[in-house]
Amino acid sequence: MTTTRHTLAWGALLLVTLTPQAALADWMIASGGGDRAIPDESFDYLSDDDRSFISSGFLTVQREAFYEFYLGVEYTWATEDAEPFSGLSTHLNTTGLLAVARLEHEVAPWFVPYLQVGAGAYYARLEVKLDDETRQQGVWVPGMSQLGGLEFRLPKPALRKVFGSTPNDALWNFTAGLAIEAGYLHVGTATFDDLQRPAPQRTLDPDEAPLPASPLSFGEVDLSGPMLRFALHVRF
Amino acid sequence: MSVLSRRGWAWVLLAGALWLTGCQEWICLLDQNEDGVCEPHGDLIDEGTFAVSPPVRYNAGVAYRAEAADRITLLRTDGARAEVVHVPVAEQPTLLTTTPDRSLLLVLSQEAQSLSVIDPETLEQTIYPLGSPFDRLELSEDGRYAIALYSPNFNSSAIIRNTNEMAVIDLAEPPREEDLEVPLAANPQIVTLRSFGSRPLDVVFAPSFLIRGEERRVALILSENYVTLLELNGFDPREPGRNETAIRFVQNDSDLRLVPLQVTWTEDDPNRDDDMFAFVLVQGSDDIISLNLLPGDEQDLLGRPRIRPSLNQLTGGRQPRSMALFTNSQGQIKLLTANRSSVDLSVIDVATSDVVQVPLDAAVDQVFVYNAVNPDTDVEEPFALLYSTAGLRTVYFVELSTVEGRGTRAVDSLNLDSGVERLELTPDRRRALILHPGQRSFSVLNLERRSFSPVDALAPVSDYQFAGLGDERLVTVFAGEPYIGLTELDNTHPTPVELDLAAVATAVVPETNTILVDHGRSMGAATLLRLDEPSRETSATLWGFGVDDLLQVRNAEAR
Repeated sequence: MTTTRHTLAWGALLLVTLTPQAALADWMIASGGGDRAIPDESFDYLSDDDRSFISSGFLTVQREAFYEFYLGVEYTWATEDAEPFSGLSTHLNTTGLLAVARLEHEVAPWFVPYLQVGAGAYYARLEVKLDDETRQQGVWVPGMSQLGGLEFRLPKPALRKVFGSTPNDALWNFTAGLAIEAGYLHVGTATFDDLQRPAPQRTLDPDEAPLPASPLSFGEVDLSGPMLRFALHVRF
Repeated sequence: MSVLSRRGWAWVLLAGALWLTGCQEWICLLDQNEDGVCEPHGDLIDEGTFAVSPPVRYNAGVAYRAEAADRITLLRTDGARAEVVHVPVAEQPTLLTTTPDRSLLLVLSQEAQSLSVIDPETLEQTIYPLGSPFDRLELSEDGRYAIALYSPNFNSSAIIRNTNEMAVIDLAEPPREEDLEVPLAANPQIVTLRSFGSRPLDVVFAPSFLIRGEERRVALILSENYVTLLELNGFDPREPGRNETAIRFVQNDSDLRLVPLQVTWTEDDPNRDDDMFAFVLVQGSDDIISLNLLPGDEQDLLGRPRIRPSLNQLTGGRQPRSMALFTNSQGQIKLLTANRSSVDLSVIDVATSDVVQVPLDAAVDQVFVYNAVNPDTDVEEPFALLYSTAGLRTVYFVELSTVEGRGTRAVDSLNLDSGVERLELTPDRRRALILHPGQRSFSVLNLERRSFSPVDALAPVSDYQFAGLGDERLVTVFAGEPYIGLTELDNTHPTPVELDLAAVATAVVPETNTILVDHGRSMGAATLLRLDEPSRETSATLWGFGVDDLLQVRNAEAR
C-alpha cells in the first residue's frame, strides 16, 4: 500500500513537472517521509520498538497565493506493525488529508526557511491479530500540524543558465531542493472500542441469528507527537 | 557583503528555533521518563505469550489470568450478562485460585515472588511478599492459612533454590515484619523444613482443634518416608524451627520407599479437647500410620503446651489404597480401608485398633462414605461406596451400621456396563457421575436406589469436560464442538444447546445463575447461559475480554 502511494506521489510530481509553466505558475510540490515519535505509552502496544516511532510519508501540492505565502493540501500516511506479545500482532495504518498554509522567505537563492501549519482529518485503522483471528476497526480523528523547515535548493539563476531558459520558458521558475522539517502533529485520541465480532464456527440455520455478542474495546491511543521528516521540493 | 539580510537572518533564526524545539523534543522522547528526566524508554509491556488462562470460578462469577498483561479479569456474572472488571496485579501472575469458599481470589506471582489476595467485590488487594518464586499454593479448608511451596517437578532457571522452603501465610492477618519484642512472627513466615532425604510432596491441613482450651492449627507436610507436623498459629520468632516436628516412618538405613498418599483427620472425642488424630495411608506399607496429636509436658515460650505426636500403626488389609472415616451409632470412630491385595474391606476401630475384615469378590481401591436412608429401617445411616479404578465393572454398597456384625451380608453389589475411570459425587452425595475408561458413555449412579443410568456420548468421555455437577443437573462440554450438553440427573434426559463458537471448558456459578462456556480463545471468549433456563434464546457471547482496554495496560514494573 505504501509503495502504491509513493508511486502515485512520484507520478503526480512527474506529471506536474511536464506540464507547461503557464498552467502551473507558482506551484510547489513536495514529497518525503520521516518519523513521528509518539509519547503516549499506549502506543507501545502498537510500536515494534521501545522508541515508539511511527514511519510516515507525505505529498503536498501548494500554490503561491501571495508573495512567499502558499496554500495547498497535504496527504500523509503512516503505518506501524508490532508484536507486543508472542501470538498477538497489531497493524496500525493512518492516512490524513490536511489543508496547509506555508510562509517562507528566500534569504538566499539556495536557502529558504519556512513555517507551515495544517488542519484536517485522519483516518486510523487498527488490525489486531491473535490466534490467527484478525479484527479491525477504523476511526476518524481531527488533526493539526505545525512545523518549521529549512529548504536547500538549486539557485534559479544558475539553473536558468544551465537550461538556457527565458522568462517564457516552462523551466524559467523551475528549481528543486531538499528540505528538513521538524514540528508537531496534534491528532485526536483514536478510540478503538468496537472491533468486529467473530463469525459463528458452525453454519447457522436460515432463521437462526448469531448469539448477541459484546463489543470489544481495545482501548485508546493519542497519536500526537513531534515529527522529523525530509522532503524533496520542486517548484515551477 | 553579507550573504543574508537582517530579515533573512530573522527568518533563519525563527525557523531554526522551531526546528530545534521540535527536534529537541523528538530526540528527548528517546530518553525521557515520567518525571521528564531523560533516560531510555522502559518496556511498558511484558514480553511473553498473550493468552487468558482457563476460567476459575468464584462466588460471583469467573476469573481469568492474563500473565503477559499483569492482570486478572473478572467476569461478574448475572445470568447471561456479565460485567468485565480488570484487576492489575503483580508482575506475571502464574497461578490463580480461590479460597475454598470461593470468596477471595489468590494470585501467585513467581516473578514478583508475592501472593496477592483480592476481594472480588471491593477489589481490595493485599500483597504478601514471599521472597522465593514458589509455584504452588495449598489452602486450609476454612481459607485461613495458605502455604506456598515448590512443586515436586518445579522447573527453575534459578542457579540454586531451597526445595524444602515454604511460606506460611495467615490470610486473616495483614503482612508484617517479625517483632521479637512483642513477640510477633512475620507474616508470611518463611520456613525451611528439616529434610531427611526428600522434599515436600503434598500439604494437608488439619481442621481447627483445641488443646487445653486454646485453638491450634497444624498442617502435615508429606514427604517420602516421613511427614512433618507444622504448627501454623502461635509462631514464636524467638524459637525458630520449634514449630515443626518431623515424624519418620523408616530408619536411616532402610531401603523402603514409603510415599504418603492420603491423610484424614478426626478428633477422637469431639467432646474432649486435648487431641486430634491424623491417619496417613502410605504406599509401600500395609499399615495405616496413626498420629495422635497430644499436649506434651514441655511448654513453648508463650506458655502453650507443645504438641507431642504419638505414632501408632493400624493394620488392616494388604496394600490399602484408599480410606474413609465414619462414626457408628455408638459414637465410635471407624476407619475403612479399601485393600487392593487382600480383596477385602477393613473396618478399623481407631480407639482399640480392632479390625474387622469384610471379604469382597474382587479387589477395590477406592472407598467413599455417604449417608442415605436405609430402605429397611427408613432411617438415614452411613453407607460406603467401594469401587476399583483397575477395570472392575462392579461397585459395592456397604451398610456401615451393621457391617461389623453382618460381614458380607451388609454388602450389596451392582454391575455397571463398564469399568470406572473416575467417580464424582454430587454435592448432596445422593448420586455419582461415573466415567468409563475409553467408552463413549458415562453413567449416573443413584446411591439410594443403587441403580445407574447410562448416557451415550459422541466420543470417548475422556474428551469431555464435566462441570456443574450440581444436585440436579450436569453440564457437559465436548471440546472443539459448538455445543454443550445438559443432563437432568433425575431422569438423565440430555438436552444439547447449540452455541456459535466451539466449547473448550465450562464453569457453573450457581450463586449468579450462570453457566459459562469458555471457548479457549487467547482474546477471551465465553458464552453465558442462564442456569435456570439454559437455552440459546437466553444466552449471549462475551468476547475479547482478554484484550479489553489492552492499550491502557501498564505492566506491574511500569506501574
